[in-house]
Amino acid sequence: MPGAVLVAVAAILLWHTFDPSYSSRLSTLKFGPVFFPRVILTVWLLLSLPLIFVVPRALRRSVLEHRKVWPGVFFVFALAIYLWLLPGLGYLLATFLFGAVVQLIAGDRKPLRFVFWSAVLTVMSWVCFELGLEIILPAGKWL
Amino acid sequence: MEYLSQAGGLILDWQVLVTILAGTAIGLVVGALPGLGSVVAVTVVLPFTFSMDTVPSIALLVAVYCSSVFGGSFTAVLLNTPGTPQSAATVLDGYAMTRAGKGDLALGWVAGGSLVGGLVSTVVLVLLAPQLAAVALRFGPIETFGLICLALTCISGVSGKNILLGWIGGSIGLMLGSVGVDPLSGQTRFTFGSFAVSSGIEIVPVLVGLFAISEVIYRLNESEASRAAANIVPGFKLAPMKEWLLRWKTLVSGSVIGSAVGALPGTGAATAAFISYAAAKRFGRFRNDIGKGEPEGIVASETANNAVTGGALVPTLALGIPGDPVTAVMMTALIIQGIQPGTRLFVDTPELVYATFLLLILANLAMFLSAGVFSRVFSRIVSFPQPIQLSIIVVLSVVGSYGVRGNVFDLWVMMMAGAVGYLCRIASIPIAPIVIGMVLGPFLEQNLRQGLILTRGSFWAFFSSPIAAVLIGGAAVIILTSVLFLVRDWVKGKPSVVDTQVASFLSRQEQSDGKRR
Repeated sequence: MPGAVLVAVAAILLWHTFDPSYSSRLSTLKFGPVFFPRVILTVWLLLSLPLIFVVPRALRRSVLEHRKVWPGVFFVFALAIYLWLLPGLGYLLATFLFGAVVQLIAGDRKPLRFVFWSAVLTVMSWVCFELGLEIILPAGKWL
Repeated sequence: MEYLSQAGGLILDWQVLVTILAGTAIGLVVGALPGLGSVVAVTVVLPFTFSMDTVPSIALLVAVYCSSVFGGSFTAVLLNTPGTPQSAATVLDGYAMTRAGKGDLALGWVAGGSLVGGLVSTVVLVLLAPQLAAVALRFGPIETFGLICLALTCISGVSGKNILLGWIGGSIGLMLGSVGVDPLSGQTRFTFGSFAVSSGIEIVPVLVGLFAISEVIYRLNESEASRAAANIVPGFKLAPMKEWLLRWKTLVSGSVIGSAVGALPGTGAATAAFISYAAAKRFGRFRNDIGKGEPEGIVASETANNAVTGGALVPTLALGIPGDPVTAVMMTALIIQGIQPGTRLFVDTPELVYATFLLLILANLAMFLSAGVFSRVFSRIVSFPQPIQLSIIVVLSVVGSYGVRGNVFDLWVMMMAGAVGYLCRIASIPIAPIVIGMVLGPFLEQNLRQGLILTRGSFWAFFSSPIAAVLIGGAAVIILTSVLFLVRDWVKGKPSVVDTQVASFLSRQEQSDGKRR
């Protein structure tokens, strides 16, 4: 399966390089914008072909199902929600909430502690980046 | 000697010494924050130089430059979060040492390696600046393409027995590096109509995702591994001299590679670190353990990426050509001070050139001494309880990835890279080749296409350049050798790539289950 996915992705991207929008009349001629990607995609495709026949055997012996995966899944889900909310809520509020959720997922069951640390981390990182280094973080729609 | 004594007089001033200490502290902190690095560090202090005298302003820039390269390795070693590509090779062995409870020693190797690299490159700068500058001028697109090809061979080195998977990862990295605006024609590629993607995929979010976010997911899913990680000795410890002497070849080769690569405009510390790492993996005394927490891997990477600082000043001072964005900012500061870098600099103001050399030495010494203090502060972080530690990593990763371009799209890239990195980790697929491909891809493409335009489309004409022929030939030999070894193992009936992968996965799982029981 991974081999097939890799081959499919490479094939689709390689096919995409023949899109008419890439045809160029510039002086670089045949060494246009998709020349290098075509070379790389061809290499990627050829290297992935053997995996179609070999990897399924490995996957049959996989022990993934025994692995505890839910905390990681929750974390990625929380991160996605955080990124979705970040432009609207702003860095301070969104990061404070997200920091607390991460600690909760990581097994911290003391609300005072994770709220405190989340607040400290958020404020410190904001002060360091926004005030110290003048890197503008998302302000949100409320500020 | 006369100029050297004059230069000594210029730098022996309390203002200069205080400036070096302040610059070192700023560089270490900014360099350690993911996503920032040398360019931001030097740019942050640039306005301060406007109101300073010439020598203190050079001292500030040099100290910030050296220590910011070094600072990036702190988070790489302690948190598996290489904030900049130049620390990506350090993380491979550095973090493995931290996980093994040798974080203090790993930081000692980082500091010592950086000091040696920095000092050797300064000596190279003092003795060979004009000669190196002349050699650097002989490196056109064709020769640089050869050099990048040689650097790419480290994919075989970091992939272990998973060479096939490593090269697939490398191809994916090279492809990711080509997304966005084509540097030669200005046309956008693989954006699929998305405006956010048109500016390309930034390396830092990918790096942070693959290493730091995947580490968070991994630790959340692996409670036993997490407890092991909490058993970390905070602080800074230098290995005995005997251990250093055992790795002297890598110390020397890393320093030479870093100085030479640094002198070539447009290459950079990440390329040097990977070339040096590949050399150590192939020829090092402990080559079989590199990648599993062997100090030689740290030494290879750190000597090279710090030696670049001296090397990069060669074309800047001797030719007036800034090799990278950092030296471009530094050159701006020098011009504002009324100093015009270039061939006349060595003739008109030799005492200033020698003062710069001496300041480099002082900056490297200050960096080494500060390492002891900063290591203790940084290593406290890994002594925090697991939930706090993970939230620190996540917040730093988010801010660092966002700070590069101020684009939320980069954070989505970071998240996806994190998920991919985690899947690669549990399947024993090496992730370093993806990073190597992404770092070197844009250089490789640009120089290949420029070379082909120069040779009117004839790739074979690349071999008419002796330097390029040697470099490309060397790269081909290394790749062929690794493939032959793989085939030999397969013929002899040793475990195949995939079987090895599954076997290591199963054995890890059994160990983990055993601990649980």
